[in-house]
Amino acid sequence: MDLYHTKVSAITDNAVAGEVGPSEWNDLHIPYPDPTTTLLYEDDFIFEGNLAGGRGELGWTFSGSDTATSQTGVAGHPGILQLASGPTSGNTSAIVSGAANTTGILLQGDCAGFIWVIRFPSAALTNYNVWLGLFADSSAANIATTEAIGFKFVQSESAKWQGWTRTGSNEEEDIDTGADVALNTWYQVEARNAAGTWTMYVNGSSIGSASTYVPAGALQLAAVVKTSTGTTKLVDIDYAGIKIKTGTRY
Amino acid sequence: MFSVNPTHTTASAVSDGGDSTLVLPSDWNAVHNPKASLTYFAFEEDFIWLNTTDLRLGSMNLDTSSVTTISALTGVANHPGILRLSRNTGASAFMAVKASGTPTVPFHTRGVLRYVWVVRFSTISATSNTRVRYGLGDVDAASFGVDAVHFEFDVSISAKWRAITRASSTSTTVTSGAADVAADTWYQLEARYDSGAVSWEFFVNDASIGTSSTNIPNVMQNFGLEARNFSGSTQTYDIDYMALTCKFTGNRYS
Repeated sequence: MDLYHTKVSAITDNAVAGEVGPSEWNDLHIPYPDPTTTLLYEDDFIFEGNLAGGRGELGWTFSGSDTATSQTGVAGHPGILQLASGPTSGNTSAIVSGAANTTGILLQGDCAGFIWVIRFPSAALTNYNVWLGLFADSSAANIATTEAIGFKFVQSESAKWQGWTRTGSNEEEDIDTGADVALNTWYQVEARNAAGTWTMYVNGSSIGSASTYVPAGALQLAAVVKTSTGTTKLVDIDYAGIKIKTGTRY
Repeated sequence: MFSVNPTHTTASAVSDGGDSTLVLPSDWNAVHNPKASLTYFAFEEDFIWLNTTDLRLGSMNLDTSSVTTISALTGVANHPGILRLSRNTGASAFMAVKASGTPTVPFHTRGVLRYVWVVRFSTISATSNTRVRYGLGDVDAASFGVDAVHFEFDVSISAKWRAITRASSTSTTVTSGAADVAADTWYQLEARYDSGAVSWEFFVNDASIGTSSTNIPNVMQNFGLEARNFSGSTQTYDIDYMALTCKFTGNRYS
């Protein structure tokens, strides 16, 4: 249900005598820690972009050939982290939620979805390679072939965003629909999980679903940019969020 | 203010009142852990980042400086992100994990509505005489100090979870009637404060183990874990999740 678009026209209090909780809880605005509800962890990158030792709620760590630096915010995009590939063909940079590119943190079944808001600010889309999502290994050597759930823009493969799941060698499902990617345009890419079927959205519209090659192993959230030419490729990251939804934890 | 109890409420009719020009992810706004308002604030940590190279960790800026080793465990089903703490430097080894470094007492014990931990022990040994406490207290004192609200597992006293409220060095203890604490088993520990009754109710795995209405502290304290290991053998403590909700009274300006 889309709560943002929903009016509740009638409400019934079903409280049972003897089960009345502290009065302070009777407010929808109370944060209600419960590890089995849907939990959101997010970053709007409104902090300085020092990612040397794990920063922010998602514990980002930078690795790669160049830098990840804070940019001046623009209207509607408070806090922007710019990830630079490096100037030599093959140069790759990444930010990963965690300490290393290969540490598996969560199983896909415990993730309800994730969102990235990004744009491509470099001079040309040619030779761009960008991956966003959950990966078993987001290192430069393995990002293109690792177990993955997410999005990629690999200009040599497609001019569009591709939804992407991959379990191993040549076990890959690509969703390659929608409009072509444009320079200097903000994109909101989202993946939602429904019992192992991952539906991919670009700017709020579904581009398709994938369920065949969904990884079984532990993954971690990451963003990666690589250049296939002799100039640096940039990615501006405005927002990243991930939703956790588990069963009972005991 | 629109105010209902979400645990007791049924929305009997709904309609789409949305602006069709707005395109938002349909369920992104339906998450249940809003972080903040001026009245309430929640601290929550699922350890899904597991960066163990920094001693100020995550959304709670956790201070792990007294821990010998912190390590990241590969996530398993229903436990995305697990932080393992260990201490192995001799008898009476002390370890604390607390929210923030300085100040050491950021939370008022009567301004906290509830807290939750999901934890396990890899081993339990009577000879190692492990004692571990989770909750509100003077975590740095290796005793949780003179005022505290915490869960305790002390194998030298009881094989079960116990919950303690403590004020001015006098304690009230609630002992779980459930099964003994077991190794390699996840436990969800939750404490809820009732400001009307001035009492704390304690839950293990969603089942109440009792309520304490005496020795209710009324001071500033920290939120964390304190563990002692009396034999000197290595003990490990796994944390899957920890959270705390605060309520602030009055305005934040004066």
